[in-house]
Amino acid sequence: MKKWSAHLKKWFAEVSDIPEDVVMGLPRLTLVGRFRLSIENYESVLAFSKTELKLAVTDGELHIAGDDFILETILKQEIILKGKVNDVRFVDD
Amino acid sequence: MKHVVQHAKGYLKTEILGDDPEKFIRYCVREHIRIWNIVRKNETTLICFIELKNSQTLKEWLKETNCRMRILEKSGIPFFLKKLTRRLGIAAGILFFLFILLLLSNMVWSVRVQGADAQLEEQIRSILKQHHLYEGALDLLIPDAGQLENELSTRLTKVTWIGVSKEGTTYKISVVQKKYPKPKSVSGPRNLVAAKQAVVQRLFVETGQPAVESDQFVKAGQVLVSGMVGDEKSSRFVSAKGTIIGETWYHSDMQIPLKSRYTLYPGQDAHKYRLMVGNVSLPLWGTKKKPFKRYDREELRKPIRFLFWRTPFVYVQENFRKKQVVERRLTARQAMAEAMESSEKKLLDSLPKGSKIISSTIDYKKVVRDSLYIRTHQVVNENIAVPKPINVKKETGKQNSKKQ
Repeated sequence: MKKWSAHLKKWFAEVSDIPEDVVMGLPRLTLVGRFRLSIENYESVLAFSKTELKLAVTDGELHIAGDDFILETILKQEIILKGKVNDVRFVDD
Repeated sequence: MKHVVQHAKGYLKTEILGDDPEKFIRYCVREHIRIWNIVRKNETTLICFIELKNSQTLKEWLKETNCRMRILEKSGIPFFLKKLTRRLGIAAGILFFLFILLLLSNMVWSVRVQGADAQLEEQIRSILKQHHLYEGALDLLIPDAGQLENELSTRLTKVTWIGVSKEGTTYKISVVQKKYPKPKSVSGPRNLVAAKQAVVQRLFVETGQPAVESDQFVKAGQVLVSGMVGDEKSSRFVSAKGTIIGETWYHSDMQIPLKSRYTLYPGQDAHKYRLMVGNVSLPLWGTKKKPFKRYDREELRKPIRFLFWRTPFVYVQENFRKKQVVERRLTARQAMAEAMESSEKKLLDSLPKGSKIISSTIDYKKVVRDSLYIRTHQVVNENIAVPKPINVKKETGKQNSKKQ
């Protein structure tokens, strides 16, 4: 049933030209240079250290690796990370 | 700039200690507590800024997440205020300083008078002082510049034009003084001639040869006292001097309304003081809505300044002057008496000093549509002599030609 609604959403996104992140609640990452990364539509912070940020997102985890991380802003919908970003990786459950 | 709001609310810089400090962060995010600039210090410690909230709820969450909190810094206005209350003296001092600064910003620092001589300047300053304008006065109590101009120009007779302007904390009064031309005195050889048609009454001649007699009718310009003395053979010129009293006649036409309306100010005033911020008005003193039945209203607006800036506050003073409308009715006889009196007064004002009205008579009177039309004539005794210089060369030439 859940799968079916996900399919419907995907179809709707394609048909209506509305971006997927809006329709399906997918995470949207914006990387400015290497120094600022904003992630919208995340679910929660799993772990944070100077070199690593682990976030829970819809169907999976997002691992970001780098140096000198600072969580500049943290809101319910958006998180802004400052520091040198080396690696952005999706990990399935 | 981003955290201005936080600054107003107050915030803490804290260390979150615990096995899983992220859990606490998650809690805060879920409960919409603002949290920012999070840095990992070590395995068990996060450093972050957190918005100031009820400490009791924070404690509960810390307990639930098995974390401890250490406060590193307290910033923001609430903490600043707390500090201030602890140092009440300083707070009072700062307030007092601001108050003094406000007071000094709205003070008159100098009054400059330009274009007046020392005596007139003194006079101007004393008039200004009566209207609360002097060095060190509060600007709020001073009337409008236009009002001051009016007052000064009605009280000072020696002044052609007077301008009052305000530049910052300085009042500038520019004056143009009247300059009378020096009366030309004819002191050389001169005759005295008649200024107007008259019948000569008395002659008081100091020097010169009288050319007319008492009860003689003279025309304007006729020689009364000649400046040429001596007989035809040996004559010399003097400066004729004397007073010739002549009888002259004047008539005047007047119209006096029998019914007239006057507006009187019985001298009762009421004041209202307000403080305006934008369009919002804050009554300070005097809140009665309409102090009098009939009144004239004046409004005085004084923007309050602070150092170089105009604050949005405006001090407004409203003056209400009680007004009475009085109707006056005159009988024909009263109107006549008034007409006579005023016409005599008007006449005497226009005549030289020492003139006397011998008699006044009414020639004609009529009441038309509530107005009295009256024609009067006056008989006056006045000095009719005016000096006229003699052209000596011409006169001697004439005489010489006569001799030949």
